[in-house]
Amino acid sequence: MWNDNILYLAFIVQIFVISVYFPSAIVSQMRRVIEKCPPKEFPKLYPVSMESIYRWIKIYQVANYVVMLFGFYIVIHAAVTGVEQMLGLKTPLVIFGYFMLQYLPMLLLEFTNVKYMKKMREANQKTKRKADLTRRKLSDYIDSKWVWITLFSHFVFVGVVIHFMYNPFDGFGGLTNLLIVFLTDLFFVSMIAWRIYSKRRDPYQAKEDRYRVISNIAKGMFVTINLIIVFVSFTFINKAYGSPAIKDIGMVVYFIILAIISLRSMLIDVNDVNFDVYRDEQSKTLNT
Amino acid sequence: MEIVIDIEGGEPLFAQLIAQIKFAVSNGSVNPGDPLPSIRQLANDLDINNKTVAKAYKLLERDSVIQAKGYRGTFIHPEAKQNCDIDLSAWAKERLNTTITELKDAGITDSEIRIAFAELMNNRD
Repeated sequence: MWNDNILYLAFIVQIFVISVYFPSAIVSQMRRVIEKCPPKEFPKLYPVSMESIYRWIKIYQVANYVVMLFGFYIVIHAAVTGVEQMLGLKTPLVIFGYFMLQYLPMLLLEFTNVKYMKKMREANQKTKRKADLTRRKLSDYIDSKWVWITLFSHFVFVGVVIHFMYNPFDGFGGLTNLLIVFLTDLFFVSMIAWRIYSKRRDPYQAKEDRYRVISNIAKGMFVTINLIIVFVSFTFINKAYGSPAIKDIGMVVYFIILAIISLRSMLIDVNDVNFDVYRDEQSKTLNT
Repeated sequence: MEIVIDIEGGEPLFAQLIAQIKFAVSNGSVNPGDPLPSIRQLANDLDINNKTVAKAYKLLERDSVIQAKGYRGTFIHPEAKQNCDIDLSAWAKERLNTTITELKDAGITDSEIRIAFAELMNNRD
C-alpha cells in the first residue's frame, strides 16, 4: 500500500513538474521577452503578428492543461478504484505513455519554433553574411569531464550486461541491450553534431548566445545519455533482485529528472541574451 | 576571426571568400597550421552552397594558401603568408593580355581570337 502511495505522489510530482511548472516558466519567459523587447523597437524578433504569438501561447497552455487534467484523472482513477495496475493497463506502460503525452505540447512548441525561425530567415533583408574562420568542435561546447563520465558509465554498463549474461533473469535481452544503448548514443551524438554544424536557425542570433544555446543542449544530452545508462542498469538490477513497485517509482523519478534536465535548457535568463541584434537599424543607430 | 561576404555584391561569392581568407592570413588573424572550418560548416554559417566554399578552398589549395589533410580537415599552409601575394588569376590575365596584343598586332580579329580561344578551351581534356 505504501508503495502505491509513494507511486501516486511521485506521479503527481511528474504531472506538476512537466505539465505545470515548466510550461508556466516557459510562458512567463516568453512574456518577459515580449515586455523587454516591444515589437516596435525590435521588429526583427517578431516575423509574425503579435496575435499569432499570443494564439500559439494559448494553444500551448491549453494543451498542457488538458494533459495535466488527464494525469490527475489517472491518479484519481487508480486511487479510487484501487486497481493494481493504473487504468487497468500495465503501470509502466501508463507511466511511459503519459510521459510521452506530456511532451506533446513541447513538440508542438518546437514545431512552431521551427516555423517561426523559418519566417525570421525569410524576413532577413541583410545581404552581408558573417562566419567565424575557426573550426567548431564538440570540446568547444562541453567539458571533457562529461566525455570521461560517459565513457565510465558505459564501461560500468558493459559490466552490468556481462554480469546478467551469466546470471540472466526472465526477459533479459543480452547483448541487444548494448546495441540499443549504442544506437541511442549515436542518435544523441548526431543531434549534438547537427546543432553544432547545421545552419543558423535564427539569422540574427549573437555568436555568444548561439554558443550558450548549443552548449546547454550538448550538456543536457550528455546528462541524458548517462541517465539512460543509470536507469537501464537500475531496471536490470531491480528486475533481478528488487520489487516491481520500486521499478515503477524509479521510472517516475527517472522521468522527472529527465524532464528537469531537458526542459531546464529551454529556460534562459532574459538579461543574458543580446537582444540588440533584433533592433531595427534606425533605433540601433540612435542607441549607439 | 570573422569573415563577411555580400551575397548581392558584384564579385562572385567564391572570389569574396578567397579574398577574405587571404586577407585573414596576411594580417595575421590566422596563422600557418591553424585549422579552418569544414566546407559544410562554412557553407552553413554563410548560408551558401557547399560547392561555392569547395571551389574557394580548391583554388586556395592550388595557390598553397591552405592545405587539405584528409579526414583531419583543412589547415592554413605553412607558407601561406608568402603565397597570399601570388595572384595566379592576375598572372593568367597578364599572360593572355600579352598574347592577345601579339595576335592583334598580327592582324587577327577579335572574333577570330574568341573562336580560337573557345575552341581550345572546349577541346581540352
